[in-house]
Amino acid sequence: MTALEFDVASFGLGTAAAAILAYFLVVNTFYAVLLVSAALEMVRHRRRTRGESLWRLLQVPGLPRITVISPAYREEATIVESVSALLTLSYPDLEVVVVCDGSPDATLDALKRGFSLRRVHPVRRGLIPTRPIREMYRSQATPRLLVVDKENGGKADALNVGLNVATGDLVCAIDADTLIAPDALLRLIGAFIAEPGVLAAGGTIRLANGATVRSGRVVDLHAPTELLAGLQVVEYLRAFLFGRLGWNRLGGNLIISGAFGLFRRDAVVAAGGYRHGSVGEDMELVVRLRRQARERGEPDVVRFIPDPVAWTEAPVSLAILSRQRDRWHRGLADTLWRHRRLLLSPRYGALGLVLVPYFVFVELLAPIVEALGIVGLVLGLLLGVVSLPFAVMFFLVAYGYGAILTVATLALDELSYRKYLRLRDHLALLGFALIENFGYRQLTVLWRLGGLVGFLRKRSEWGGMERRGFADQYEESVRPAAS
Amino acid sequence: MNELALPAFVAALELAVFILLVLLYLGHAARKRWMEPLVERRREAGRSLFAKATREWLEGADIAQLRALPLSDRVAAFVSVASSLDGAERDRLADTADDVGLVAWAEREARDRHWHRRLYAARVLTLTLAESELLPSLLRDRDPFVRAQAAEWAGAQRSGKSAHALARLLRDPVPAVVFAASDALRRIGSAAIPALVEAASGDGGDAIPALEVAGVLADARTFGPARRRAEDARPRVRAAALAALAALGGPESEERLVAAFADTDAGVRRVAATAIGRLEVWRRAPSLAELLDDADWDVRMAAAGALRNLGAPGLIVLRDRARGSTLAADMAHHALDLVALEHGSP
Repeated sequence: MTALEFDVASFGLGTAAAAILAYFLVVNTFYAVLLVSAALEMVRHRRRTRGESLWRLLQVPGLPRITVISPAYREEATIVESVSALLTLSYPDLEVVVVCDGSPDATLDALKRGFSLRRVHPVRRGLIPTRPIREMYRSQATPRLLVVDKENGGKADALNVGLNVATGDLVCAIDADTLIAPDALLRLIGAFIAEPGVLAAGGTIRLANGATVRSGRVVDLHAPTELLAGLQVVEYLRAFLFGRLGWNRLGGNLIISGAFGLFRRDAVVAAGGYRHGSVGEDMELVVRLRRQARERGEPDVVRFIPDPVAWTEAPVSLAILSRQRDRWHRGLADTLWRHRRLLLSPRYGALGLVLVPYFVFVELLAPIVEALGIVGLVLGLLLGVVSLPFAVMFFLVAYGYGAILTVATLALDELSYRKYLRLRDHLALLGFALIENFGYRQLTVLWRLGGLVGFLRKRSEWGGMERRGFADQYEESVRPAAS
Repeated sequence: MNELALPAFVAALELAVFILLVLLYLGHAARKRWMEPLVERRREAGRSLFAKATREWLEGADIAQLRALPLSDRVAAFVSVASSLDGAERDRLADTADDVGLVAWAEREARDRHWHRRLYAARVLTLTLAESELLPSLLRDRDPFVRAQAAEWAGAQRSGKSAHALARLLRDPVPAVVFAASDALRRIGSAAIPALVEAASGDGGDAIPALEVAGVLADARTFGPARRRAEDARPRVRAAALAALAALGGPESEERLVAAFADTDAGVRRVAATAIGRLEVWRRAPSLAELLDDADWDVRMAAAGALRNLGAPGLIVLRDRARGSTLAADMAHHALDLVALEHGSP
């Protein structure tokens, strides 16, 4: 390399490093804005619900019927416990539809045994095309439970079958292994009562790793002892408490978690249901609902309510976690590509001008920028074109700023909900908030890059997830106390 | 040296913010951990006394003990006990709340300029069942959640005095207010009928919730507006009117409901089918049988459900229609399976 070439390369590397530093500064500052927005929203929500009696709502006739749709695939370890918990949710008019998506294990047998299922002649709306239904069952013990056995077609297809048989005005889409807090639906329905034009509402997903689960209910919460689960607890808190709540004031949400969300059935059916062949079907549906509402000139309100809680199990193996993150990023890329017309389009208001650009430039492209930043920084330091003070600045802006936002989220959660009661849990969470910057965050960058590559190669498989079952988890949780 | 000044400054700033946040986080956790048992002990004492007040009149010493509690604990203890009560127990508790100064406090707070204070005060006033001249102004409050809470307060009093103000809230643009006003009118019951008749007769958006409440109250005075509204141009109004007619029953309601089987709107047909099933008018089984061929799945489902409700005449129709491979046969077959399930037959 000649001196001139070296100068040009140095200049290029230096400029790129500065641009990446600026990117992180802007992104983390936007996160700080989201956090402030979330804090304001939390204060308003807490004030609005102070002294509110959910018990009164149970006595009010005329609340819309809710159908909980639970697609089940390879869930034999958890299905009976989670469906039992669904059937005891506090809501006056509730229907539970479990869609067994051609599961090759004993999921259906477990349901038949657990709920005294009896075959009934299958009937369904033909509004959304799906894979064929094999059988339909009603529970003799609990007629509110309907089980549909169908040919395997993926989660979106299973949810669409649920939509075709649901009789509720609102449908609550969940994952079969999700444990919903008993009062969660009563709290979530508030979003539809509070303002007109609400299409969907989502609640908080928390991780049950480290929790004591009894009869499908989380009865005692501790910070997980496993590193990978602990890191995800912090991640989930950040994602939901400021990642979602903050958007309520900045244009509404673009994601309702597939693990727990409540939708207007007529709106979802009119939109054509969940899209087949999409790995990010939950986000894609919300974007489509909002887009179509905007195109019709109707309200496109999608709300996040922080206090309805659903619990799920985080993967504790790197291989499974990497597949999950790969899939999430493929789903994000797929959704944004399908709806690329929204990007920077004034016709769609905040959806086109704020939300979609944020998801493209921050969420989608962040792993590329972060990977370039890390590689560029190391390379620059080795070649001597990036100074040590600049590297320190990069670290402070990218990771120091991020760690501050994470601790602020922990503080917001503590000030609002106090789910963790022991001091050692708080110290553990603080530890996870710091440790995640050293290795874990870089790993997620790699996994998300894999997702982008997969999207470009048009991969659409889901990747498996082995459930340990909350019953097992309960055994683990009680062992130390018993010994 | 200068090159390091900026990173050092940023690092120091980040460290300071980080330490502040950690102190806030751990400080709050520690404070709650050590203070909460004390607060909880006070509140538990308050809850015990309020619970005692639901069974018997409190003596002076008990009242003094309640008054000695910090106001926030007194209010919290009262709210937690009163929220799950109704009837005579709640009435006795309301008297105690007045004796220990909660009503006077809430009335002061209800005039505050901050919406959240007015809202919380209205919640406490609702639980105290207090009658106050503040209610009409809170029903017109600029904050929708305060209006909704005031509506709940008016409903808890079960007096017709606020019925017209509540009926006006059925036109509110915020669903939470309409929801609370509807429930309040339902709880007021018979005394709310004149206001409901007026709302159901008008052309505003309040006709639907008014008819829905009329459908729950089933008062003969709502028959006239419900019959007129059953011919309304808006399907949702027609559906609400038919539900109100179904609640009243009688030959004319029955005729209207059966006529609605031919309505152009599927939602109206569904309501009519369900209503005939609820009225258990077995003579209408053949008309319901025709709805088993309806193009809309929900109408077919409602018709099958109604036929199940009709008992033997409905079952005969279902068995008859279960032959063949039409959509009607599918639905009839399904309904018969559900009947077998209900009766536990194989």
